[in-house]
Amino acid sequence: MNIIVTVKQVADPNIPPAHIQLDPDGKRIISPFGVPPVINGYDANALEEAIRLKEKHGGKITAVCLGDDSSRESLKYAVAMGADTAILINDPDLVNGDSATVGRALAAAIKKIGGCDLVLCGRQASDTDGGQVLHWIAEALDLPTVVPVTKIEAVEGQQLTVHRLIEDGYQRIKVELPALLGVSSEINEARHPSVRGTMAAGRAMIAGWKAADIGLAAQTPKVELRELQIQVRTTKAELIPGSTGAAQGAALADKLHELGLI
Amino acid sequence: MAGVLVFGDTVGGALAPASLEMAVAGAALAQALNEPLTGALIGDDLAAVAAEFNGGFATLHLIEGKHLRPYTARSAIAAAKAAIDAAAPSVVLFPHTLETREWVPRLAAMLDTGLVMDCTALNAEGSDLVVSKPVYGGGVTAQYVVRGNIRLVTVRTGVFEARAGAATGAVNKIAAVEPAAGRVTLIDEAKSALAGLMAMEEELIAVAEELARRFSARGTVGDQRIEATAIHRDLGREI
Repeated sequence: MNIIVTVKQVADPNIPPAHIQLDPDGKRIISPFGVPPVINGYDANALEEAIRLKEKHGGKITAVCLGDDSSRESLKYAVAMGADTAILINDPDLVNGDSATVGRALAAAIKKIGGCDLVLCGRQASDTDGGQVLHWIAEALDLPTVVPVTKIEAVEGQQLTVHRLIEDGYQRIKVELPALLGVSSEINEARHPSVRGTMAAGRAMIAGWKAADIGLAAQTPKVELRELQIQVRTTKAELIPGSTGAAQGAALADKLHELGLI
Repeated sequence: MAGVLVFGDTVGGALAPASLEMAVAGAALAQALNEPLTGALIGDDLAAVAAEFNGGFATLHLIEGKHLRPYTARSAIAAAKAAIDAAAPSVVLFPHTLETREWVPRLAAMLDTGLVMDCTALNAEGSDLVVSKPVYGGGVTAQYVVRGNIRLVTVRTGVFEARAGAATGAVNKIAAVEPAAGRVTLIDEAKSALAGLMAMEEELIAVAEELARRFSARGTVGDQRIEATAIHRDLGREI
């Protein structure tokens, strides 16, 4: 099974809100010194699922990312986890594009790679929480989609049975390949790269493509980011005591009652 | 294209509280844009729900069909397109739910138009639609201008006050056409009130179970939730 996993490099979501800084234009987050950007968490789940599918059914995994040159680090991480090859779409005209632009660029790259059975994406990115890019990819490639996927139950020939999270449970869905799945974090726990994988990633050649390489014409933005504003918040944490889960639950219930929340 | 179209939502055959929140948000926006307000509901046998969905709509479009429940993205998109064709709006609002998160972005891509999801503020600046939403885990608010002939927005629930407006002017019933068999087939659904517990660790499930018991004792949550917790305890093991 040939699987393409889309990867986005994001500011580390563990940056405390008080340490978030914006660039002078007020349109991008600047990672604080010593806190490098990371691979989007849902994308790591998607990659983990691709690796598990490859381990069972064989095939090849290609990680594709649209980003600036620093995004090579996230692609190396993807290779270290288990991706066979990685491609970076690094074009100034695309890097700050809206979901439609990014989705169409990734779709064009996937088309150029060719022979894809399955596209796995994170359900959304942890920076913009947009959740749209995967649908623009699917529409451009005319792929059926299921989002958010919490389990791949079975692979039978050219069909997958997957679980899709709904408000009050989950649906079991059969989807024909080729298809695109938007993966949620419930699906797995992404592995950490092995030492061997990290060494291999250091030697990996990561191809760099521009818009012209994937035959992408200039795009008209459908959404324009006007500004970002840091929210000033005060938070207070309190540890709920209890030696067991049940005791903690009881103490939490008492606390919520005391605060008048229940 | 002119007007603000507001989609309501149903849960278990009843009007979801978020529906009237969308109506309030839509009414303010329609007034600011000086455009008419219309509503839409998608589902099966919507007469009773429609009677509760009083958002001061000039017209309420009801897109009905037995195939619309249980939910599938393909059917929801086809139904929404029927409502949009009928209303010809410049802005469409949807409640931000797990379902709309799946099908509204695909609808935006099909319509080749702008969409921002999970918005907490909507404003008109002249004819521009300016929306805000939390990003970076809520630590930052982003402000966007949405472009396109039909601008789509999903609105976070719980942000706007749920308040009934004036009675609906007219009801337009549209029989939903079932889309041709696609490449995605719904096999079945597993229902539970506490689906999120599936991924919880045993210890957290114990905390939730105790919470559910205590809430029930105070009459806040019914016995059904405790039962549902137990069901998901088993599902959690399976996963």
